[in-house]
Amino acid sequence: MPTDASTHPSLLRRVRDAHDHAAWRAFDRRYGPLILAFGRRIGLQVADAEDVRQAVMMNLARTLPGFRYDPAHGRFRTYLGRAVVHAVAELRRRHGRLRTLDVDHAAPETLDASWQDEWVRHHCRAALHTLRDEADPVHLAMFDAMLNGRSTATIAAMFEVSPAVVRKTRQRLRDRLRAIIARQIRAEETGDA
Amino acid sequence: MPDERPLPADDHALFGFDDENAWLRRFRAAAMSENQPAGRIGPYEILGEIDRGGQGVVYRARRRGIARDVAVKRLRAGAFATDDARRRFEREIDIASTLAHPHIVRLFTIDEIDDQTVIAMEWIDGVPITDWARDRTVDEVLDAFRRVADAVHHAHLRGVIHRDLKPSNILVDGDGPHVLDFGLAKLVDGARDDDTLTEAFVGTPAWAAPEQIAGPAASVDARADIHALGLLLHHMLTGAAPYATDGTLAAAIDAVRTVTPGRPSASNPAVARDLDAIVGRCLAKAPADRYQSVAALVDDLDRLADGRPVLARPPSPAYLLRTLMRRHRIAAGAVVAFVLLAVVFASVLAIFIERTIDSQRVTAQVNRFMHESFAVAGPSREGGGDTTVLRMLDAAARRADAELADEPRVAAEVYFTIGSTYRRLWLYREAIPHLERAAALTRAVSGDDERLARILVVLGTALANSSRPDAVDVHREALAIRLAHLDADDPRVAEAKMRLGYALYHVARPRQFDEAERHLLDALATYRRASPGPHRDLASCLHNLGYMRLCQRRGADAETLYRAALDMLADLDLRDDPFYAECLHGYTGLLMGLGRHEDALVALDEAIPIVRDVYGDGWVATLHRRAAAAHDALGHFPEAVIAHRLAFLTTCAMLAVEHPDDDRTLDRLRRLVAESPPARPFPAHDALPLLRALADAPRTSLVQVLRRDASTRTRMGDEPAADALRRVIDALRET
Repeated sequence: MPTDASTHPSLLRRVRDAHDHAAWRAFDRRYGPLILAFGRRIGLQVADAEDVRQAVMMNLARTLPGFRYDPAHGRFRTYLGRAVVHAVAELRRRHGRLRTLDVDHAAPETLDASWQDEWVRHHCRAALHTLRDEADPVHLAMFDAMLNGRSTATIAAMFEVSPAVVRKTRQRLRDRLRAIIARQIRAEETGDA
Repeated sequence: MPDERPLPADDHALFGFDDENAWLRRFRAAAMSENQPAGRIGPYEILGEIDRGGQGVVYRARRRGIARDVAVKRLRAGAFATDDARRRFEREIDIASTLAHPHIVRLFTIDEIDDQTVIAMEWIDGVPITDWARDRTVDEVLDAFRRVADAVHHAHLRGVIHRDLKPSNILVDGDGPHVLDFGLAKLVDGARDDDTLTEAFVGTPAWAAPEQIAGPAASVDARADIHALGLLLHHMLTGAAPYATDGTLAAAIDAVRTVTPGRPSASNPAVARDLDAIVGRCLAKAPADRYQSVAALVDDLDRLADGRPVLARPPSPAYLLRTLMRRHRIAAGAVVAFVLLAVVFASVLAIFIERTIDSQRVTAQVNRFMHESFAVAGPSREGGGDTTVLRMLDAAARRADAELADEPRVAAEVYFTIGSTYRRLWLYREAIPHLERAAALTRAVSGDDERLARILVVLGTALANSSRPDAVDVHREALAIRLAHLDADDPRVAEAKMRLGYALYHVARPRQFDEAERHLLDALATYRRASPGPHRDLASCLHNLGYMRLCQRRGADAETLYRAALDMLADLDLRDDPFYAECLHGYTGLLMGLGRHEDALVALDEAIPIVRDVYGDGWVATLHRRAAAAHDALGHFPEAVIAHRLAFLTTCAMLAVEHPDDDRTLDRLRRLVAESPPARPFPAHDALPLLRALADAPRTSLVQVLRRDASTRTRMGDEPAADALRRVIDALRET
């Protein structure tokens, strides 16, 4: 699980140098779990998901030196998503089949939608980690209660505060998470900044 | 200024921030996804990713039907792995299969899952040794460190250099330290080492030796591990890494090359100057200035523990005198007086010091001899090492014959020492003639006194353990002597009764359980009166009673008594005592007899390293056979296969002691089979000629092990492996 939400802006630039091993390790640490989670989400076994992760990194090492971020030509997440979906197809060709049934029949648009969902989840997980590092413990406890589906009234009773305080906290946490996500995505998209 | 531009509108909706509740649902799903099972690799349920190194990925995992967790490793690149990476992984597996030591993480199985090699290793739920060492005493640190050094020495003896010893690769759990990750290890014999020759550096810079950083990998030898052990000990003693580990790579490399770490005693006043010297010797920049083997390092730690001068320091006269004063407090006053007089009689002092140095050397030789004779083959020894100890004992006996004819008291003491040592090694037949000579000489010189009784008790025990009924008469004589000279409540009388009791139910024909029980209960009562708390003799008596109950086929009673004896010894912190090993050995057999295979495996896990430590590799053969049988009965076939292989290897070691004429052949056979991991086919082609060359008795013993192995392979459905083994067995039957 990536915890370093504050993507170093020059990471994308650095990995264009295939010999910058430290940058590649950081890149793999950041996006490897996302690729694995995507693989697991579409039903790949661990071993296949690992192979996809490896194939993506190998393909990127070949293609990233020529990659220039241009919002007009799509965002980095789309670029990475295509690389991942391509790797799944490549692996299928290589093995003759994958050790899972669903993927063989999955339409490309299904894979794209799954990738987008997983990408959102990836950023949510990273934002949650940042929030847990910085937020007030009581607010975090309230947030956990919200995540667990407790109603505003129940949470107010649990924490002996008024429902208005709970609503206010919820709004603040939402704003904070939105800001964290915005920062993460900017860092991801401004790799050549 | 932090960039606080808002989220673009499309992403705003994507994350659900455009809806009162949708965003919370997204985060709930994300939070829950963190706890989802990671999936499976073949038969392994993956519990989590533990480590992702340059080469492999390690997961904590669980295999269906097996309660304990394992560490599962596969090549990180999987299907995309280069031939080089595959070869390295193969080599790592070969190395892991070569090593079997209580403080080296064990390799359980090698699986081929969808064309990928996956290995399952022992899962260690521990903490890095340097974390463990915080707030420990220097003695505790040294004890743990010695275990690590033993493990590294074990690897070195098998030609394996670790090359990446660091705290995160040495974890401590309830069983002590465990050395992990031989992934960067190097085999000393060049044949399988080509792939490391081209590398400039492997390892972790802050924990590397200067030569690892400076030169080609080929120039790195076992002394690099000694440097790492020095860094480790330094860190354990001071609580901080000798070289900074959080700076840049270049700074770390520079520090390793040029900085000499400070003395540990500067940070920890409890560290003795001699220990400073030992750490300093390990950390010498030039390999030639370090200890040249881990054995030499451990030897110096022994010297430190015994208060003898350590070799890490130059033996200056002042240093020798200080050491002497510490060791012999009474004599020290005389030494100080002597030193004062020496201001006048300088030449006399010179002679004195010369003699002191000579005396130190002789003492060291004698101590080394005693250590090797009594402590016997430790875990770092080859099985054949036992033979060397036996030869030393035989040589000592011959020297006594030749040189002590005019000194019957001294000769009797020497024979008694040799006989007792053989008995402690469970070599009763060898012990008996020496003890009989000791008894005869003592009877002639001293008559019937306690000295004779002491020898008779040991002789009677050796006879009883050899199933000789004359043990009863010898013990009766010992008891009679003690009753004549000692108070009836004397613990020595209790000892004689206990031994007589054992002989009565164990070797007398017919067995005399009633009289035996009377003597044993008498002894128990005497021991309890003599000292109400737990003590070793009481534990010994409980064990003895337990064994009698076992002979009476009262298994449940026997189990209670064995457990009581073992718990008492553990409470007394006597797990290192050979008697604890003996007790545990019997207990595992008892549990197997009761069909309690799960409990037997727990006891065997404890027993195997202890028995090996005390008695050497050869003596754990029975335990590995029991472990194999227990795993087989429980359907743990991969574990059973490994245990069968270990049983084969240790049986070779045991037979080499019992059949010295075959010891070279057995050693070759052991090495050959050790190089073939259990998951691979038995190396029938090369092993057959060696097996054929053996005498009937050792060959039959080994065939039995192979037959059990074949049976397990059949039960697990691995017919090709079973067939290969049966072909060997059939070919030997024709022989």
